[in-house]
Amino acid sequence: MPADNAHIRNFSIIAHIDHGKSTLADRLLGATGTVTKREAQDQFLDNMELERERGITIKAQSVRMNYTANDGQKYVLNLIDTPGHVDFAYEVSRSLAACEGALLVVDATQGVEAQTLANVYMALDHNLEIIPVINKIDLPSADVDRTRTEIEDVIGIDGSSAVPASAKEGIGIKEILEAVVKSVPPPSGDPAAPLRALIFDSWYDNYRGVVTLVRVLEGTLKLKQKIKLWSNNKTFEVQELGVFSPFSRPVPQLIAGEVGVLVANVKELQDAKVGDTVTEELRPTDAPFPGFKEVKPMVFSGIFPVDSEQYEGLRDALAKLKLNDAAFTYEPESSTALGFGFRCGYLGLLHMEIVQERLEREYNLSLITTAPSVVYRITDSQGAVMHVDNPAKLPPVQKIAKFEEPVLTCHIHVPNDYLGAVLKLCQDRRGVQKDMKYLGSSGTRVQVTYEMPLAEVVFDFFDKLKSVTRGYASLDYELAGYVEADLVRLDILINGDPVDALSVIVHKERAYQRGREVCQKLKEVIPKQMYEVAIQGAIGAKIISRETISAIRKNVLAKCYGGDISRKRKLLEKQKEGKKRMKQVGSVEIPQEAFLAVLKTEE
Amino acid sequence: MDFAGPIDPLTGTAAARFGLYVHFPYCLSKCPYCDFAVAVVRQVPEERYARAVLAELDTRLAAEPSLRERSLESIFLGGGTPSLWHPRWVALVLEGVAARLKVAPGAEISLEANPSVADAERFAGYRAAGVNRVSLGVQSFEDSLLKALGREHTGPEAVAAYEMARRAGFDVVSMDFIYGVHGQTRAQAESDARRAAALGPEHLSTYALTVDRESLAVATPLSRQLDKGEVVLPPDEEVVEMTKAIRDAYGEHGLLRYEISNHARPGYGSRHNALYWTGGEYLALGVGATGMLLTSAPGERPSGYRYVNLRGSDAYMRAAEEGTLPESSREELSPLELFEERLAMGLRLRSGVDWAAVCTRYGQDPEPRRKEIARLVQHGLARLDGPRLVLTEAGADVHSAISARLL
Repeated sequence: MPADNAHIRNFSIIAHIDHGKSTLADRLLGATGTVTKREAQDQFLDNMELERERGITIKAQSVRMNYTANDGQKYVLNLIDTPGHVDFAYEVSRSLAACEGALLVVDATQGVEAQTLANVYMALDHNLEIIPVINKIDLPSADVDRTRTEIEDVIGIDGSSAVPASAKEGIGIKEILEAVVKSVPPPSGDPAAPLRALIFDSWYDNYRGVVTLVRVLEGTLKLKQKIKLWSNNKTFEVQELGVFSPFSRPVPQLIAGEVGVLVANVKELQDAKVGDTVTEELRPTDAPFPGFKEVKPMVFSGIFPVDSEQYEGLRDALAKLKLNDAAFTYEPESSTALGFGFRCGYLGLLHMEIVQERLEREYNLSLITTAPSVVYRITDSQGAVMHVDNPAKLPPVQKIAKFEEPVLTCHIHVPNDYLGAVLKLCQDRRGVQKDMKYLGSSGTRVQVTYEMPLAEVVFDFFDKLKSVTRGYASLDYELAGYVEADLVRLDILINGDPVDALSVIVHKERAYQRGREVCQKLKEVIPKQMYEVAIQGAIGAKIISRETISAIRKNVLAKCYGGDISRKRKLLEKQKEGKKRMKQVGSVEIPQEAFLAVLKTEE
Repeated sequence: MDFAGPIDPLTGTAAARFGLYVHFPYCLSKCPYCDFAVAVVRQVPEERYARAVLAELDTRLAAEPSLRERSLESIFLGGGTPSLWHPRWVALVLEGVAARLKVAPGAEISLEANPSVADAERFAGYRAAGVNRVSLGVQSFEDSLLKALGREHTGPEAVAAYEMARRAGFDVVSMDFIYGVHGQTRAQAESDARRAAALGPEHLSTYALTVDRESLAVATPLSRQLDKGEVVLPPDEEVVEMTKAIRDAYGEHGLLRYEISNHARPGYGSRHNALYWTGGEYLALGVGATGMLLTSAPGERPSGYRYVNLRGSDAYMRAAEEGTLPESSREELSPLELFEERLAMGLRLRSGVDWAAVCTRYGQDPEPRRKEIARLVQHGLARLDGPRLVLTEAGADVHSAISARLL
């Protein structure tokens, strides 16, 4: 290991989802001998089962590779993985802050995407050296020259240095490693200076407590050192330092420029937040690394156990999950329809789905999730301001003086051919156009900027955008504050009783249509019952829509003679088990998916 | 003949408390809807099978000698096609049973028979052997439906077989019918019902065709066809209407629906089948037969076991002849499982079931079920007859859904 930081290169990979980041990472690990063939596991860096299944990166990871370059010298290359989804933009920015360079992977068949662009700008903000990699050149539809031009036109960086590659076929890997050594600047920083290190990832380990990934910017981290966290002034003693290569390996110290694992007896994930600065207790740095912010959930939904006996289990599972996910929040909630549960906050819908899947899969819980809601700002007639993240908690209409909703500034990149469809979609989602410009000299791609209600974007906007543009559009957004809007609460009544967990806040102009759609959707997902079921949509006391589910007519085993009653009993037991997956609200059994159905209405 | 069986206090239904089922698996051909253990052979090993059945009985009695002290209140010879068994072998089996076990005076002894003339010629022989109730597998009088069901007899033959049963001295004649068959109209179902009732039988079992794989012990040719979409059954609404039409037609002739699929003149409900619906015990002998015996002492919370015999006739006979129990599986039954069966089966009966007493007897709490029961009554799916919960006609059509809610 080189003692000086001149032979260290810290870099990350920026890529749009599906542009081949994980495959490229696997190739780099293979080419440097970090992962042997035997250990090779596709998408090595994505080590959570869920990540691998969904093909996305949720938690950033970091791997140290040893590489002997063409100049004959040995280098330490730290590959810092970044999450690849809009929900995790802040984590991306912290990971990038830990690097001096970035590989920008652009799909030779797709070109530059908006989200890639956002990450590139983020990387440029951190003064990273960008090395473009034109990936998937093995595909017949690959257009390397056009992609090169687009990199120059759209991003404004030199496309001629771009490395053509195919991570899948192993083409261009050596060239990429050489470019990293040559172009990415070595880290600066004085190992003797007061300690300043950036936490760019943290998670909870059952045996070691909170484990953080840090980039040492100045000074040296040593075992037994007394450290202090900048944001909360808490002090800890360094218990363990290490690097991943790719498996965790202890080291005695981490010097300025290095990236590694820090374990310091931190018990709560909240105490070691991503973006925070680590310094020495006795000799603190004079200023923290800038840009720290608390990640706040944007979307809230209720989680309830189907079987109320699982409430304790759910509470324990949420507590454990929270240990590993500082951005996730929860607090107890009770619903007249669903009983006791929790109101949970997420960064976005993907985050929400991941949390739910983990709860169900890792903790074996059967859960009902209610429709997600954003946080509304209500000013009541007395002038008091409150934030409401649960439609059921909305004050009576007559007491609301001002109803505001959060809005986003959305940047959408789209080929010219699909522009019309995108404009229509944004318009339908109550978007207000702020800007529109053509990118590059060819004029085939457009960037449109809209101000849109978060509630309209957060749900299925991204899916809709993908479908109207056949996957060619990409989206990036940032929060832009609150604006007043004409909103109402749409209630759903089942057999005349309002079901609080089905209420949603909608724009008044859409209320009637949504009411109809939700009732229709519920009619589809609620199975026929022994009794007729009436589903109604209501705004205040006014019924605006209605559907009826007729009663089942026949559900009986004809033949029940002969002694084989066990099989008949088992059929009934199975039928009874099926009911356990549904929530009984009054006399009606409502399946889990019905509570999310309010989201999934077709337009 | 004295047919007054003991009355089950929880359902008010006359039912045997201890019975014997003998399965005769052989058939001339296999019906496409049948999921019973059936063997189609050129030469039926009539004598060997009869002796194998008695050998099995010996093995069972050796294992559980206390059974010898019990009194059989019903014997049922089912199949397969038991009428392919010559009366001499049926007599051998019945005599063999009587020699080994107590048979209560007036016990109901039923035999299932194919309604063809060849079989019917044996009826007097069965009667002489001690059989006092014959059940004819008519299924339909319509030749097109009989063909769809793979049956070899014709409508007129079935009528002739019924008359021969009467001439042979059977005071109790039952017939089996199937409805809800692919291609069947409501008018056809009703016509079958009228013709059946007009013959004047004491008892009619009338089953809606069950084809879905889940409800069957094994896949049948018809269930496979349904899976592939080659067969389409009448819609549920239509089958419900057929049920109603059949019930009305039977009712006009004094045959009352006393169980979901069974109708009888008052006092002629099947004691043996009622045993299954009222938690009675039954010994079972023969290929693929299922028996259930309690192991709990009287007064204790009931628990027991259910066994299923080997479904292959050769394997069965070899095991029985070797003196080993020819079982393929045995399942312990907990009080909870017996409770579920008792409640669900009890709800099939038109006399209803004293649900709270069933809860108490099997150690379940009745309280959480009260609300659901009130709701069932409120919606006209059930009514309360004293302590007994009785499903209405509409409730009977959704018996499974109701049972699943009350279990």
